[in-house]
Amino acid sequence: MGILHWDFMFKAILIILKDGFANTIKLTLVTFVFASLIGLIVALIKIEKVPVLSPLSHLYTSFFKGTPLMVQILVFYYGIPLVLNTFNDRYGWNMNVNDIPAIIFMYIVFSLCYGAYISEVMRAAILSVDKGQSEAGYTIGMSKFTTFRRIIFPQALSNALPNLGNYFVDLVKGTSLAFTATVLEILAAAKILGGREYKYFESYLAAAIIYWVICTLFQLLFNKVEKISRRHERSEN
Amino acid sequence: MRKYVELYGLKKSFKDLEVLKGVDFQVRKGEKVVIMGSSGSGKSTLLRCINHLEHADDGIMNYNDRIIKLSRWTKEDVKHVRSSSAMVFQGYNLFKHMNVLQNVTEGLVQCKKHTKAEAIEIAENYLEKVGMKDRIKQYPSSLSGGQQQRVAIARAMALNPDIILFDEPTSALDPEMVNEVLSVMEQIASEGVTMLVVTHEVGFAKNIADRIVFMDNGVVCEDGKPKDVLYNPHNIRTCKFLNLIENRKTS
Repeated sequence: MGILHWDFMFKAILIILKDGFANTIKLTLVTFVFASLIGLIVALIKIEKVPVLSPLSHLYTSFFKGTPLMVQILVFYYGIPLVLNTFNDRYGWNMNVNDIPAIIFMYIVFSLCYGAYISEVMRAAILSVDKGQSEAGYTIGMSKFTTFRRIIFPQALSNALPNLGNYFVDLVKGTSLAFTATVLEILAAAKILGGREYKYFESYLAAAIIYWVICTLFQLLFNKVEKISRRHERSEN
Repeated sequence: MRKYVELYGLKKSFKDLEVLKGVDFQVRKGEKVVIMGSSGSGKSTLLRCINHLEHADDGIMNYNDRIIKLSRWTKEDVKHVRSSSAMVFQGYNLFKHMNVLQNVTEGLVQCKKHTKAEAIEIAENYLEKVGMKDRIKQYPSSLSGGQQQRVAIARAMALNPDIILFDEPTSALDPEMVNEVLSVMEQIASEGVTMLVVTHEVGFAKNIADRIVFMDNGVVCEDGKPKDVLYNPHNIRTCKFLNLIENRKTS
């Protein structure tokens, strides 16, 4: 039999997938969408040096890049209910904090955290597009917005894809921290299963394998998308 | 002929460096004007101040019967100029993520509000004129410099502008590609569009230009018919510059 209970390992993978996979993927995808939106907006605010918003953006990225995600999760998980309760008391709201699923808090923290990182990726990618590209857009009569939408952004996105792919995979792994806020994702499912069956090692190993497979698949997907987006750079035709 | 662009007292500095020191300059409708001068004399900057790629510090422009204060452009001013002008750049500046056809249709669809089918028809027509119709599916990175510049000229022409600004269109090209671009420019010159060309190509200036403007040190120092400016210049700087070009060719 050795050190591993193989039968249990396979069972564990299925159980963990059934219990935790959905939340891991939900947390990853929802976060990535919102983080990308935040990242793009913050990047544009910084590039355009919008008064008031620009210094605030720098403060925002500085905080979320300068503190551990784990600490951010704890701060938000304990902080948001406090704030909501204070508002309830002060303004006579009737919002029951316990009715809000923990995963909603996690959507917020993860989006803010990864939005900070993605804003840096986006900023660099936008600035790396040659100035002549936007000038060509202007001289054919495009507005600044149309030039950004049609000329700059598509090229910037293609520049940003490798880094976005890295952050996406990082995010998949990062979601494992959400178990500290009682979200039942893959790691939480493994922990529960391990505790129930007294087989921690097999459970955690099963979780590791699941993460590995998910991350590899997404990495392959990103590589593929990146290749498609760079088809214009191939010199042969 | 009616004047199309008139500039008065155009001034532009980059930080402490005064590049244009009060330029007065006119282009008539349909006229082909070549601007020459040594590098750093402000030729490109002059062109870029006309379509607001550079914001001038001072001066007034009358562009097709609209008076524009060059230090205070309004959004409508910019639109007025850019919707009836086009530009060809030294570095081609084709949209890298679009193929040859898309490069030309983009402005037609986004700015001139043509349908996609109309845009494709117009684009193919102009791409045929510049000899690039057999490469419409290729991306800029797979084309030579001369081919890219011809596409860029088709992109400018397709918008049916009143005036095309050429900013050293052959300076980045290998010598053997210069002629293919110049011959396309000569061809469109015969079609009546107003052309304002910054170039060092004396041959082109001699054959095509109605007028040559010679710039030096931020001012216009010679302005006249090609044969006057090239063979009978009044200004010592013009003589020196033309001698320089002549020597380079014979050496």
